[in-house]
Amino acid sequence: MSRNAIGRDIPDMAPGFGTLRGYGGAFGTADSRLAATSRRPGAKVLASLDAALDAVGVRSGMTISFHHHFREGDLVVNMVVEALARRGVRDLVLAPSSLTYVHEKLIDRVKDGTIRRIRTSGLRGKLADAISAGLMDEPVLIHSHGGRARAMDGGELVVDVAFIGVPICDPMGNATGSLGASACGSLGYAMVDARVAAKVVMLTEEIAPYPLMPASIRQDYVDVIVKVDSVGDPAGIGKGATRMTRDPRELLIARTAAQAIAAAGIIREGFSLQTGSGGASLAAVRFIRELMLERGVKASFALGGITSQLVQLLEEGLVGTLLDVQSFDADAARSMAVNANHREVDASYYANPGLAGCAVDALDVVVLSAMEIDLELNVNVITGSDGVIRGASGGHCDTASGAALTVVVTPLLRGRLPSVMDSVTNVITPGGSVDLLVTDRGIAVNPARGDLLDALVAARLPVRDIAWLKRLAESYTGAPRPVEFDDRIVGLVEYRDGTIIDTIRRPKGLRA
Amino acid sequence: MKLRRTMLYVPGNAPAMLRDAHIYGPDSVLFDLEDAVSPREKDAARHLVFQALRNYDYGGVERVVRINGLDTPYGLEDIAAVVSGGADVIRLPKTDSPEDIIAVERAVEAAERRFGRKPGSTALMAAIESARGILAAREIAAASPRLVAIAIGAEDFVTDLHTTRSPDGIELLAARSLLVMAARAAGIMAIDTVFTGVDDEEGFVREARLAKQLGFDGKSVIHPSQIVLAHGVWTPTPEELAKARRVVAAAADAEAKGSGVISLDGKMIDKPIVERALRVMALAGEVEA
Amino acid sequence: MNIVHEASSGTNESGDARITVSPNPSGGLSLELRGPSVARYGDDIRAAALSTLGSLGVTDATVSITEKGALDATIRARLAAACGRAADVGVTPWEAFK
Repeated sequence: MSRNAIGRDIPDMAPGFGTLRGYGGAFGTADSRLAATSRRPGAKVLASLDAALDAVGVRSGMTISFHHHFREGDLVVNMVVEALARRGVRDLVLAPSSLTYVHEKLIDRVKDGTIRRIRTSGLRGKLADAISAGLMDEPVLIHSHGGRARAMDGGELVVDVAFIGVPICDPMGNATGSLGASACGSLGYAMVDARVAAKVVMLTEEIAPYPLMPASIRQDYVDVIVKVDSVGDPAGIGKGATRMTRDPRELLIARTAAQAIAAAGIIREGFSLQTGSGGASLAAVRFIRELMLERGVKASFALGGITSQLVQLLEEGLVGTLLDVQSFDADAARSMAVNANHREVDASYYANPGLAGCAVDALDVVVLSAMEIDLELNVNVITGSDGVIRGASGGHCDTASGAALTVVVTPLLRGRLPSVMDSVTNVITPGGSVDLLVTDRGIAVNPARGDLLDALVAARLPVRDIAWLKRLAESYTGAPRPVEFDDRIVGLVEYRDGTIIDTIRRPKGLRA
Repeated sequence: MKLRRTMLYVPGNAPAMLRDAHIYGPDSVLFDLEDAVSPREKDAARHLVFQALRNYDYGGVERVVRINGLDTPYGLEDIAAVVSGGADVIRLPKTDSPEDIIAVERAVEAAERRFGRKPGSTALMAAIESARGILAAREIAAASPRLVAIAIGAEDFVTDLHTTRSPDGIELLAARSLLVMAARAAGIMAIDTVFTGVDDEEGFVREARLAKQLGFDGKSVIHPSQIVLAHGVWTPTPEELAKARRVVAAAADAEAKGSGVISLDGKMIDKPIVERALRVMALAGEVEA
Repeated sequence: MNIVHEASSGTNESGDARITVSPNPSGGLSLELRGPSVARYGDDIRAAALSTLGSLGVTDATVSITEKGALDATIRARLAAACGRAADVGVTPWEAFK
């Protein structure tokens, strides 16, 4: 028996409840007024990034995460890593959802030992070149968006501190990507980080009055808030509206893809779709829309990275709901802020294969692009024809695995290089999850999908054997000399389930 | 019947487009050495078109090359390159008189001999782009057995006429009709001018319908997106096709019975109706005419 | 063909090549090649260039090729045009091309 803070006698034990703790004051300590102040709005807003780093205690060897919703406009990764380098932190594991051209500064931070390991969906530009040439002692891990969410929600990837840049939040840390100068729309990838990270540091350009609702990131996940001048360069975050290609070749591929999707019986009332954000994949939306109008049918939802073209479908009533994990342009960001049927979803909801359900599994069709595709329909979207990393895994293998019909679109030739080959340089998406390849010179069908073959032939679409497409490509280009690699493994490609589907080797002759 | 519903212009100095312009499904591809190529690049474009003709497989799509006129420093060398390369058709621009055709014909004959190509294997097509040319259309159309079509080039023509192009094309009406009549009189095809508003699908279809109604066999097109639209205009509707099939069947029936009278649904059918029905079926790709 | 001065042909657009031909004071053929396809198609491009020079009877020249994914046919066309310009020859011996 002991006496608690307000003088009541409390037993040490109670049957069924074990040891009891006696009340110690309204805020757990004797000094109630000070404790209360520490939880008032604004208390977690710190004056500087350094103060925030002190508060969360970033130490050498920790895993820190970032999101890539600011795309080529991102300023957060460089800002935080530079600050940590100045503090002498070493051996960090960098776990952003993706990296882009703007992150080449990280090369120096790898060289000086600030960063030991990187896991990311994508790598581009000079950082990618350097890593391909053997910059890092440890290979980079390339994951899919769903695979990253699986690793995080499943506890395989433990994040010590998540740094989440936002255009605006309130003093408690409720944040949205839909408002502010650096509005980026959905914060779908960051939502998982906020949920699982041991500590969350929010970097914001603007602090709005409490409560900022609806919030993409909730106050209960946010430990510290820092106001910074800028989290992103709007010019790099995304244009007002994503432009539809005018390239006749891409339009031809897109039209053929839409016809194939129709022939497969997908374009019916209530179907669902996802497309990429550029080239023929995006252009397919235009032709799918025409077929929907012709047939008088509507889609139930469109998923993934959302562009102005999908917003148009929503506003025309041709699609019921947009599930937005990433808004690719200002139109999409604006729409999500005002349209109740344009919903933000996080990366786990989108594509995590480790939980009891994700949206990609409800897709009827996905249209994906490819840098290379081989006779087994394996797809490469990570390494160029020279073997150097210059792409992103993204949701490619997630959607291919989930969708009832997976359509890969690519021109047969890119410059002088055939897109169709005996064996791709690296595999991101296994051919077993690809149903159709649509090129500007014909369509190849996965041999396991005899039903599709019949449907496409019946629709008088130009069906070709994939080996025929390869031969046609080489009739223009000649057979390419193979790229040679040495034994140095510079990257591991993780499939969405956490297994390693391929390794990225260093092209012969490259040196960091 | 060789269809020429669409002839897709490809600038002669654009290697990536020359490679496979046929993938958009035109009835003919038209490599341009004339207005699409600046004087400084005439030689370079000629080399590209020559290599394209020599090396690329266009899957049986007719390869037409628009050369520069023989009154320019480029015309003769164009003919040499194109005949040597093996083009199917040479399209002569700004044809004003039958003499223009005869001059080209001689040059082509000489080139065929020089490069060991089969005499007469290179067909000709003439574009008429002036008032003088339109008034000589009948003689132009009959000037050479190599001629397979005549075409109207509207931009130069309306300038020559001291007017401009209007949406309904009233200023071109007489010229178009004269051109079609000249072509029919000579038993060759008539090809309508380009429609330059690439984004104006409605305007294109309106003009193509007019051309078809006037009797043209097709249009020159400047963008792949116009091909599907033009084929939509020139392709018979299912109703037209169904009727044509019945007419042709009735005619075959009458012939089998040795009867000179063709009747369908109790009505007598004249020969021109049968001929039209055959043309409808040919446009649908159902018969060779 | 006798190369008498420097001349170029072609562009830096995708699918094209920019080729410069100039007299080679030390005689013979000197070929410089760069571009994204060189690693995998360098031999083919070199062979296309040499056969074109052979067809045109060019025996002494410095040739610089910057390709942007050009196919062999484009290499041949650009090189032949550059040679014609560099030799001040306006009439091409078309029959020389096999």
